[in-house]
Amino acid sequence: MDLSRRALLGGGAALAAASLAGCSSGTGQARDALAAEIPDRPVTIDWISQVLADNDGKDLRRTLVTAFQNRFPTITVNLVDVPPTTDVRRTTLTTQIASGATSPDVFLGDCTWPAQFAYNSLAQPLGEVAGEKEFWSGYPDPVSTAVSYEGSAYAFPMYVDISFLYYRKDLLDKHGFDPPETWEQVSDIALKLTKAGDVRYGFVWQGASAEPITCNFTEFLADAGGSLMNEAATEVTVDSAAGRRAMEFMAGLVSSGVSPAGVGTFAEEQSMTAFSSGQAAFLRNWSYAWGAANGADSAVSGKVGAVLRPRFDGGERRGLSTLGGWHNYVNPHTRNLGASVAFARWVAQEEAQTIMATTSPYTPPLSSVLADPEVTGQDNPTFGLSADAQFVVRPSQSPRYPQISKAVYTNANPLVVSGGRGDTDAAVAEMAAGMRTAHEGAAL
Amino acid sequence: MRTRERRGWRRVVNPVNGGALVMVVLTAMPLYWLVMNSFKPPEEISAVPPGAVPKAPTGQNYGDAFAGGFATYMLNSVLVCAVATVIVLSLATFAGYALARTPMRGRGPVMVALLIISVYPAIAVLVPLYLMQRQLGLLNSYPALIIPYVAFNLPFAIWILRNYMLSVPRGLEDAASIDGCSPVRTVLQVILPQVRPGLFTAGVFTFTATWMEFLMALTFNSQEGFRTIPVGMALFGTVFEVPYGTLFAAAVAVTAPIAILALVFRRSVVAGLTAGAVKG
Amino acid sequence: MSSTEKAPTAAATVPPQRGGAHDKGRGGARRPAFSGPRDAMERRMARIGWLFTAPSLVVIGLITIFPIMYSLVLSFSRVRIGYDGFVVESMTFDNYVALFASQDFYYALGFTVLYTVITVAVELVLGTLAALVMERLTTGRGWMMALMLIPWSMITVVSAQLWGYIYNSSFGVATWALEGITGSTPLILGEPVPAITAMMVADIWKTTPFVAIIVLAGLVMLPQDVYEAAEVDGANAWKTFWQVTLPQLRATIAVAILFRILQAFGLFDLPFVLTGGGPGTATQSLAVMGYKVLFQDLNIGPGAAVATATGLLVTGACLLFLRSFKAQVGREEVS
Repeated sequence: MDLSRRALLGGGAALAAASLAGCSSGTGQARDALAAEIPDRPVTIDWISQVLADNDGKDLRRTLVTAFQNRFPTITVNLVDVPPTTDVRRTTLTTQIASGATSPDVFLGDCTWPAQFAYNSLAQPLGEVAGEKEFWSGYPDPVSTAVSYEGSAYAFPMYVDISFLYYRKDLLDKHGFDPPETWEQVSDIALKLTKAGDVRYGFVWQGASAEPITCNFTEFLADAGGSLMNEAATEVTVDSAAGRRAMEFMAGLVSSGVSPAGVGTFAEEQSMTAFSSGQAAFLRNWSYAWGAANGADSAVSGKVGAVLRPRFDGGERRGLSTLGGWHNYVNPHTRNLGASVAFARWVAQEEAQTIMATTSPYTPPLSSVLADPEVTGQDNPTFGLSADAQFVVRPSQSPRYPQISKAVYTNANPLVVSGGRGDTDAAVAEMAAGMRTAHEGAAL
Repeated sequence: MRTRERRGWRRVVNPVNGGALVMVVLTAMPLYWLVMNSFKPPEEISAVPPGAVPKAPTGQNYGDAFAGGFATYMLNSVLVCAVATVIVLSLATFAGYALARTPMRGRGPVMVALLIISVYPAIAVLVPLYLMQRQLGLLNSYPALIIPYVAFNLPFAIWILRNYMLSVPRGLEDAASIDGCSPVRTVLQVILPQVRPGLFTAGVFTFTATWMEFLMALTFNSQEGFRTIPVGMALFGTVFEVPYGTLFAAAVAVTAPIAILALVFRRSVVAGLTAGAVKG
Repeated sequence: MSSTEKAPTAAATVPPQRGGAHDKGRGGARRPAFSGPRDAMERRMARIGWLFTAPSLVVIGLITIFPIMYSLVLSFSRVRIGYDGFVVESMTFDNYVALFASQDFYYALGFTVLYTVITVAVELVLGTLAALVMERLTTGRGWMMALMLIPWSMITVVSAQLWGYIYNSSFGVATWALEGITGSTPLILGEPVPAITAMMVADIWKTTPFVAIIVLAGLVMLPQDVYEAAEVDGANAWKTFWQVTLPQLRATIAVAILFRILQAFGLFDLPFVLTGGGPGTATQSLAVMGYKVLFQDLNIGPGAAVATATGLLVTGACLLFLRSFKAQVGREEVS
């Protein structure tokens, strides 16, 4: 017994010491990303990104990589594919980067990740936003805010997602309606069209108990003049008159029959299917929906219109959209910091952004490119509308954003699933309490 | 015996044969579907209604699977599982012998502890193991999986071998010890040949358990070059589609060898799997 | 360790006391020491015993026991990932406060237990029926066994992908078949109850054949004279099964069930690949929840609390069941 006990204790102590030793140092992050040099000798960097299809069905990533390699001949960019879902993609990235792995060098990540990744040393700081005025002034403020954490940028923007209200142009024309400007009009038209038997559902959106309903609720909340948290994501502000109004409206959509209770299980894909199969009159969805609704396998191809999201009757701001999008992060353990930063930064700038905007359905965050007549003049009206969109930022400034969002969707979803019945005020109060607990780091 | 004599057509059409047919069909149908779809081109795979057999059978999926990193996953899996199994068997042989045959103190608590560990959920030790391996620089390497696989499969292997060793006649050892054999030689030369079926059983269980293990492999070795088959297969696909044809070709390629082995060795496998269950 | 495959054998190897019993008789381990050649021999053998066991125990201790303890520490800490590893910021009880306040945790616990109880019950009933059929089968039994070994030997992730394809909402064969029957397109994996059912079907398909093989072996081993006696008494097959066969298999089956339930606390592969725990959290097992909290939300402290709670539940259940293991085995020995 003695032998093994000694061995156990000895080994255990050694390992404990090793584990603790790792806790003190954090030196590696002191590298200045922007000062890192681009090497003269050839280097290869790994870029993890999902496949991005361009207008011809080809891979936009390859077009970009080729253009980049022409510009920087010493750098080779190696494409690495990712798992299918955003969640699994995040877990493979976190386990891989937290392991100290030097690959991937650059990774395309969701716009809600910066705080979480920065707080956990999974992303390389890419310079202070304030100190790089010239660079960041080219992007809308919400975009630079969203990619930064405590003043430092942690990603270079690649593309943004903006939400629109898509509608059945043919049906609105048939009944003599103009595209709606308020949510009240949306409800009226939707009910009339369903009653007339033209569609099965009036208005479909995303109410699944996950990030989608957080995005949808955040938008209704902003329409009503409120917000989930203050701008710095330090204080919960959802328990307000606006919060209660937004929740009431959302539940009312279902209880009045404008939206089916099924939206409580809808993520983007399901709502898209309902719309493009001709079952719904209105759809709230991101920029990509224009292409999907007009695709070859869509039953409503050519019968679709798009507007920025409406306002509430008497509301001040319209065209509000949750800011979505994907941006390039740099692995803090990369061996090729200079080359990695050069690539991530290049994708955010004019040359790459123009390629992207003119050959693919992805919306460039760089204002000058988005305002370019060549870009706005394309078939796709979402580009032209995008410049007028007003962004609503989710409180992803908090490193506990996943838990905060969980408090939002777990309290909002039951109201939708139950057909809009339930105490909306109580739901908002519960949501606020849950968000506060989450913000303090005391939630799962 | 219990089976009653059946005559005429009742020898073929009867509840037993009917039941057997249902079982075979239910078991085989998903397997049939797997094999058929591994030979279908992409447009047939997503065709509605689905075709029972490929209209234009192709081996393309198999080529794609092996070109797309599957060969690496397979190599990783075979290497990790084989090494882990060998280490488990060698350690378990001696531990099993000690627990079965020597009057060492504290056998009871040790056996109970082993029992608990053999069902202890991997999720409960995932983070500390990740951290320890991180400090030792082991993540994304072969030892990163071999070490935990050995530790988690040892308890069960020790149990099996111990039980087999209990049934070895004492006289053999006593004779060996009178002949002046060292304990190590006694185990290797006298005991080991007697418990070959036990080794086989423990080996089969260890290999299958490590071959299928997913959670640790996913967490410790998520980097492309070190993924094992389950990880590679789980992370397969892109945002827009899961390339099921390629995936199924890979699935057939990993299942077929095992199935053939099961077929060839079915007697010993079944005997091995059930030995403990029945004898206790 | 996700799988179900080693349960029945493990179950039956349980009784620690039985095997130990006869050598304890001759063991001087507990006797007061006195000198003599036999006693010296005993001591030498005991030392050798520990020498032989030590390497295994060291490995197991370092890789399992130490992490179990370390996980406990982490579950009381505020932790984040640092550049060189984890950073423990302070000690706290918050993680457990959060855990016990979390509805997701209770749901995951309930789901894991319920899912296991139902699948194990169905697998057992179907497996026993299959074994009874196979036992009476006059030809092709060997081939059938070989076929039934295939689902068992299949990697869980692979079978999960296969079932994911079968259930696919746009071109899955199950979706197509159900549409033909009901007339409307079902979202098999998109709604809670169908998703849970679909997952159970996949599990039952994979595990039932194995249960059948084990039960069959039990049937074949049963003493024939009991049956002959029953036949003389004129009992029919059904009665024989209930009154003679089942009671004799009871010990094996009971222990197998307990083991299977304990293992199921690790349920991960199938839900992770097939549904990702969804829709919502409908198919989120304890292990999937733990993994997500740890590596998706990067909520390391609370994640460690989920992991530790799961581990404690298993240990507790194990110790609780230890009695019934002994009781069951005792009865088997008597009968």
